[in-house]
Amino acid sequence: MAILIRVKNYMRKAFSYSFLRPVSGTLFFTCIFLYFFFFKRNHLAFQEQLQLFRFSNEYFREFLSRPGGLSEYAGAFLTQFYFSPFTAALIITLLCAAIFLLFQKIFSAYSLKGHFWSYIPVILIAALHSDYSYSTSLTVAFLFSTMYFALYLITGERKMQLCLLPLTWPLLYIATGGYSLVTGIMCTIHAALVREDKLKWPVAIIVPALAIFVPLTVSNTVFYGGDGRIFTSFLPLQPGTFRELFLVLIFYAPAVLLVSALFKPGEKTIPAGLKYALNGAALILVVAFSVYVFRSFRDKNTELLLGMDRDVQRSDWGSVLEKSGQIVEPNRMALHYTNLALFKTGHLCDRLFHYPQSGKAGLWLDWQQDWLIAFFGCGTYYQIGYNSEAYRWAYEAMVAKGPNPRSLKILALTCIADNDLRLAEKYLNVLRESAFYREWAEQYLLKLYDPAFPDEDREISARRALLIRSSFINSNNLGGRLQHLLREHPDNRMAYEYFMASLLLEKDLDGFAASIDRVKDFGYKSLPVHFEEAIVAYRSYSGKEILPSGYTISQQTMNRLEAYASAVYSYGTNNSAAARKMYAKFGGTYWYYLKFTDHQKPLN
Amino acid sequence: MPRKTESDKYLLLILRTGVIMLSLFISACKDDMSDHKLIGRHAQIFPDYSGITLPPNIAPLNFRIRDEAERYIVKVSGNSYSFEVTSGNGKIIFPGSRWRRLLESSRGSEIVFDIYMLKGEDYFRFPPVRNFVAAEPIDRYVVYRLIDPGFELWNKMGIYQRCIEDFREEPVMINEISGENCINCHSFCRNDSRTMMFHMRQKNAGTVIWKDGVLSKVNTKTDSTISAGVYPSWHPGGRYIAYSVNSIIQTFHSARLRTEVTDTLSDLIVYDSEKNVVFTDPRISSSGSFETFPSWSPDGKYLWYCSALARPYTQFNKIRYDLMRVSFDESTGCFGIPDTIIRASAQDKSISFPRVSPDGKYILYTLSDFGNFSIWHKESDLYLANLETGEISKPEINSDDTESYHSWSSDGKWIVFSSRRDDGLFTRFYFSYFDTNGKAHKPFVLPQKDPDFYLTFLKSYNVPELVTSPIELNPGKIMKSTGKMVPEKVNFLSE
Repeated sequence: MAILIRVKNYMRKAFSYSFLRPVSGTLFFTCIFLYFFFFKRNHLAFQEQLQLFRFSNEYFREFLSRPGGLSEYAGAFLTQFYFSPFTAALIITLLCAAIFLLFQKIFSAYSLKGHFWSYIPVILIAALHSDYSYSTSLTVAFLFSTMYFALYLITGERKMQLCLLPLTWPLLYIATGGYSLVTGIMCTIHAALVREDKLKWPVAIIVPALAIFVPLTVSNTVFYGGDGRIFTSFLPLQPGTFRELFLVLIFYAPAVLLVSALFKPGEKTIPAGLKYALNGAALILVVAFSVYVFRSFRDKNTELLLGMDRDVQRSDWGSVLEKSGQIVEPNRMALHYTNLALFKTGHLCDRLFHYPQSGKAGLWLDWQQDWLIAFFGCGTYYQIGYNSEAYRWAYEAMVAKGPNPRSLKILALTCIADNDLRLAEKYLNVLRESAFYREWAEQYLLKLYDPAFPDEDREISARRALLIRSSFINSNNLGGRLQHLLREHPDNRMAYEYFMASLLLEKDLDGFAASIDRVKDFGYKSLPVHFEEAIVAYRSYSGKEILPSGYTISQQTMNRLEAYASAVYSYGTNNSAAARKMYAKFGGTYWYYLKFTDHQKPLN
Repeated sequence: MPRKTESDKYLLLILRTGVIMLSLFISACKDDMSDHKLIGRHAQIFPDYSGITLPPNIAPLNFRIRDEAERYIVKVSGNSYSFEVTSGNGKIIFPGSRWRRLLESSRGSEIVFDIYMLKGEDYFRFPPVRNFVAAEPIDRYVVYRLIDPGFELWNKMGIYQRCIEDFREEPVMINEISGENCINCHSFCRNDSRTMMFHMRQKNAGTVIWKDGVLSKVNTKTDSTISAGVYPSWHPGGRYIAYSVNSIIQTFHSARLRTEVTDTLSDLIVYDSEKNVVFTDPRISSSGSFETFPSWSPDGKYLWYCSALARPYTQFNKIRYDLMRVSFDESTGCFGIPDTIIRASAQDKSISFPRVSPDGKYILYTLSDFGNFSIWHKESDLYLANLETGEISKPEINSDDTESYHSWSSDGKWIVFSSRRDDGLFTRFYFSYFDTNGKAHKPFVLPQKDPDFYLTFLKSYNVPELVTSPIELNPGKIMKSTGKMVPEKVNFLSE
C-alpha cells in the first residue's frame, strides 16, 4: 500500500504543474523556432536584404532623428543576422522568449498564474513576424517598453520611483516612440488600481502627465515636431495587413491588467480539479489560437515569391523553377523570375509556355515609381547587360528603401563595368562598414584600380562585354529597347531570346518571322521547341516558309502538331471546351497559347 | 607672512618632485623627430587641403594621411603660433580652440603643415603643405539641401544650415515632418538669412516665405502661367522675387549622360510680395524661347537670365541657352528690352546659373554642351565674365567632372560652388577665395569633423548659399506656422 502511495505521489510530482511548465515552454518555443526556420526563412532573408546595418557613427546618428530610432537601430542590428535562416529563427525565438518571461513577471505581480496569459503576446508577435513587412524593430520597441513596465513594477513602492519616472520617461519615448503611451497606460492602471502606498495618487497623476508632456516637449525640441504623429510615432498604424493584430498586441497587456486589477481573479481560491481543467482548457485555447493566427497570417504565395527572390540571388535557378510551379496564382514578379530562370537554364524558348504566361508583362517588370518594382526588377537589366538601367533601378531602390546590400552590390558592379571606379569605391566603402559584406567589398576594393582586374574578374568582364556605347533614351519598358541592345551587341543571347520571347508572347508572328533568321548567329544546334512551333504556326497562317537554312522541324514537333490539330478539330467551334480539355496535354505549346490565351489579360 | 611648517615643506617637496618627474615623463614620451628622412613627394592627404587660401574663420581642416605608417605627427605653424597633432590611424583632427588661435594669428599670411610619419623605427618627413589665410572672413553660414542624387524616387531630404566656423549642422526644414514631400530651391535676399524662401511640392505644397520675422505660404501658380514658381532670385530690395516657371521632363540615357532634365516650356515671372501678385512681360515669357534661371543684379536694375530657342525635348542635345540681361524699373515693375550678353549657342555651348558678384563687376555662370540642368553634365564648368572689360575666363577652380551651382559671399570675396569631382556623382561644396584681381584661388571642400565623412556619405549637397547669420527657423517652427496653412493664392497682373 505504501509503495502504491509512493508511486502515486511520484507520478503526481512528475506530471505536476511545475514539471509541465518547462516542458510546455520548451515545446512551445521549439515550435516557434521551427516555424520560422522552415516556413518563414525566405521573408526573413528578404528583410535582411532591405537594409544594411553599418558600424559607423554617421549611420547611428541617422536613427537619433526620430522617436523610436533607438529601437529601430537595435532592430536593424538584429536583422543583419537574418541572412541565415538559423540565426533569423533563433533571434525571433529569443525575442519571443524574452517577452514571454517579462509578461510572466508582470502577470505574476498581478497574481495571474499560469502560462496562458503570457503565451498570448508571444503568439501575436510570432504572427506579426509572419508578415514580411513587419519589422523586427517593432518587436524590439515592444520589448523595451514592456521591460520598462517590468522595471517599474520591480522598483515597487519605493520613493525613488518619483524621481526615476521623470528622468527615464524621455529616454523611453526616444527609444520606443509611441509605445511609451501604452507603457503609460499600464503604469497608470497599476498606480491607480493596484498600489496601496502613499505614492499611489502622486504616481497615478505623474505617469499620465509624463506620457503626454514628454512626447509633446521632446518631439518639438529634439525631433522638430516629428512626423506630426507625436503620440503614435513609430507605431505601424497605417492601413495594412497587420494593423489590427498589432493593436491587439499593444492593448492586450493594458486590458489584462485592467481586468485583473478590477476583479482580482488571482486572489480567488480555485479547487485543484478546476485548476487542472482550466489549464487544460488554456492549453487547448493556446493551440487553437496559434493555429488560427498562423493560418490567417501565413501567406504561402509571398513566401514562395520571396524564396524565388532568394534563389535568384544565389543563382539557384532550378529551385526558382521548382517554386514557380508551386505558386497558386503567379503574378508578374514571380513570372519574371521564372522566365529569368528559364533563360539561365537554357529553356526560355523551350519551356516558356509551360508556365502561365500572359503577354510580355511577365518577361520583365515595367518601370513604376515603386521601390518594390525597382528592387525586384533591377536584376533582369543587370543580367541582360543593360548597365545604365540596372544602375538606375538599383539606385532608385536604394534611395526609396535606404542603403541595402543588394542595390549597393549592383551599383558597385555596374560602376566598375562602366569604369566609373571612384563611384564604385564609394559604394564599396559603404558595404565595407557592414559585418557581412565587408569581405565582398574588400576583395573588390583591393584590386579596383588594378588595370588587369576587369579582365580577370568573370563577373566584370561579362558586364563589360555587353557595355552600351551608343546613347539613346531609355524606356520604362525593356521591350522598347531590346532591339537597341541587339544592335549594340548582336551576340547578346539573352537580349535575343527575350526579344523573340516577347514577340511570341505578344502573338506577333510577323515580327518573329522577321527575326528568326538571326537564330543562326547564336549557334543553336537545333531550333528551340517554341521557335519550331511558331515557324509551323506562321507557315499555316501566312503560307510562307521561314525555316532558317540548316535547321529542320523535329519529328516530335510534327507529331505533336498532328495531335494538336486533330484535338482542335474534334472540338469544332467549342473553344472554351477545347481550351479546358486540351490544357493538360497541349497547355505547354505555343499553339495553345496562340489560340486560347488572352495575352492582353493584365497580370497582378 | 606665516612660516612654513614641516609638513608644508614635505608637501612642497613632493609636489616639486612630481612636477619634475611628470615633465621628464612627457619629454621622454615626446617624439624625437630631428633624425628624420625626407620624402621627395607630398603626403597623400584627403581631402586635398594643400595650396589653398582659406578664410580666417573656417572650421578645422581635418584630413586623413593616406600613406601607410604606424604613427603620424603634424606640426602646424602660423605667423606666431604653432602646435602639434599626433595620430595613430592617419586621421588628423585639429583641436578647435588651437585651430582658431592659429588662424586668427595668421590672417594675411601662411600656415604650414609639417607632416611626419613613423615607419618601423624611422621618422619620415614630407615636404610641407602650405596654405594661405586670407584677411577676409567668409559668411558664417552655408545653407544647402541634402538630397539623394537620384532619378525619380526620393526619400528623406531637407534644407540644412552649417556653421562654417565649426561643424554644427542644423536642419532648417526636413521632409520627414511634412509628409516626405519635395523641398527645394531655397533662396535669400542678399545673403541675409532673415529674408528667405523655399518651395514644397506634393504634400503641404506652396512657397514658404520668411520675411520680417513672419512666415507665410503662397501658391504662385496662376491660370496665366505655366507652373508655380521654380528657380528663384530675390530682388535686392526684398520686395520682388523673380521665378522661372517651367514644364520639365526627365529622361534617362543608355550611356554617358545618366539623366537629362529638359524644359518643354519655360518663362519668367516676378512675384510682388507686397501686393501678392505675379506679373511678367512678353519679352521674358515668349513661347518661341525658353527663359530660365533669373538672377538680379546687385543694384536691382537688371534681371539676368538664360534663354534658348524652344525645341521639342527629343532635340534635347540641341537646346542651348544664351546669357541675357533685361533692365528693370523697381518703382514701376516694368522691363526694358532684353540684351544678349553671351551668345553661347553660337559656340554650341549652353549657359546656366548666372550670378553677378556683389560689386557688380563679374558674372559667374556654368557652361555645358547643351541644356540647362548642368549638374548631370560631366563637361559642365564654371566661367567668369568681367562685366567691365567683357573678358571671359575659365577660372582654375574647375575639374574634369561637373561644376554647377554657385553663389557669392556677401562681400564677394568667396565663391561657393557645387562639384562632383570626388566621385562623379555625389555633389560636394567647394569654397574658393576671389581676390581683388578677379582671380579665383584653388578651391577646398567644406571641412567635416571626420575627414573620412565624404567617403561613405550618400547624399548630395545641393544649392549652396552663403548667409551672414543663422536662420532663426527650424522644421518644427516652420511646420507649426505653415503646416496647416492653405497657401495664399497669388493673382496674375495682366497689365
